[in-house]
Amino acid sequence: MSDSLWVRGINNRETVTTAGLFTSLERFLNQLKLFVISLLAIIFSALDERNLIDQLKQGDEAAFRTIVQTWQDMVYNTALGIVQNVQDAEDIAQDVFVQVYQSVSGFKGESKFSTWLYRITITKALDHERRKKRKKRFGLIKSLFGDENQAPAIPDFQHPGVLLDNKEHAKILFAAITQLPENQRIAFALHKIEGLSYQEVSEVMNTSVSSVESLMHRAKNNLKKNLEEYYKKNS
Amino acid sequence: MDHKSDIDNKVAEALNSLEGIGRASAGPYFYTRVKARLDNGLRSKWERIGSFLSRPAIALSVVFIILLANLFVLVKHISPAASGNNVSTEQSMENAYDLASNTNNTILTILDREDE
Repeated sequence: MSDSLWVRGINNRETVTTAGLFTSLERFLNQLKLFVISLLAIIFSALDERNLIDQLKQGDEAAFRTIVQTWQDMVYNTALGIVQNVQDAEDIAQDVFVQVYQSVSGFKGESKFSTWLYRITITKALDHERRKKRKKRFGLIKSLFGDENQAPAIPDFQHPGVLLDNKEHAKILFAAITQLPENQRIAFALHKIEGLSYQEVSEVMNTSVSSVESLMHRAKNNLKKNLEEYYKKNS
Repeated sequence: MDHKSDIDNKVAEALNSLEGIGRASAGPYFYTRVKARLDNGLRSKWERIGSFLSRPAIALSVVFIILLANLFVLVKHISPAASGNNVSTEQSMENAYDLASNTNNTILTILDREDE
């Protein structure tokens, strides 16, 4: 009797270990399957991307449409993070795609297509900002001669992607972002608003990861200072 | 002290307010607008030059520059040209009648000679 119990025990243990082995093997296979699928997706999307660009180089309108529809939100969101104005961001995004159409023959494929798009967007957004600053300066000179009354800047930009609970604080943060130097502002916008990693930001900005880390550190410190000043004045 | 910690809290909240931010989307029919802008931008060279010149600021500036140039030419040519013309008329008369000032062949001396 005791022998049969002992044998049954061993059998049970074997069943348990075999079942465990099967479960872990199944889990491993599932993970492998996911890995292969994502790898294939990356390869196919890269091939697809290259295909699209080649077609666009030949002036294919359907390829251009697909490119615009695939990357329009990325371009728009980046521009919006820098210029903080919905209409201006839309104009810049349109300009970016017009330039893509006109100068795609110059794209050699040395960097990712998205990196190239980010660079065009940033250049256009910064150009727009500089023009706006020049106009503001001219407006200030005009106001000195009593032509125009300049209202003080009030934080009023609302990014549509910000969570409802954070909207008020985000509005003040966006106003503080406008005070940052250009490089810090771009790094901050790409990392915090576009959600790029430091590695991706460094590729877009054509710099090292450590430089991006340093830019982000300085940006955060400057923002902290600006925000403290703002809250001291307004509390 | 409470005031400072209150400010610190607000600063921290503001700095963290972009957590979980979503991507903003371009408006609907974005591609149509891009295409329209592209078609607009692909006009011929002369069309582009024409539209550039027909901008009010450019057109007015060009008119103003042309007027200024005309005025400048007019002012420059009227005053020195008038005195220059007189001199040349005088000289041509002298030459025509052979009345050089270094000789005594003025009209009066010629008339005097004729009287004699």
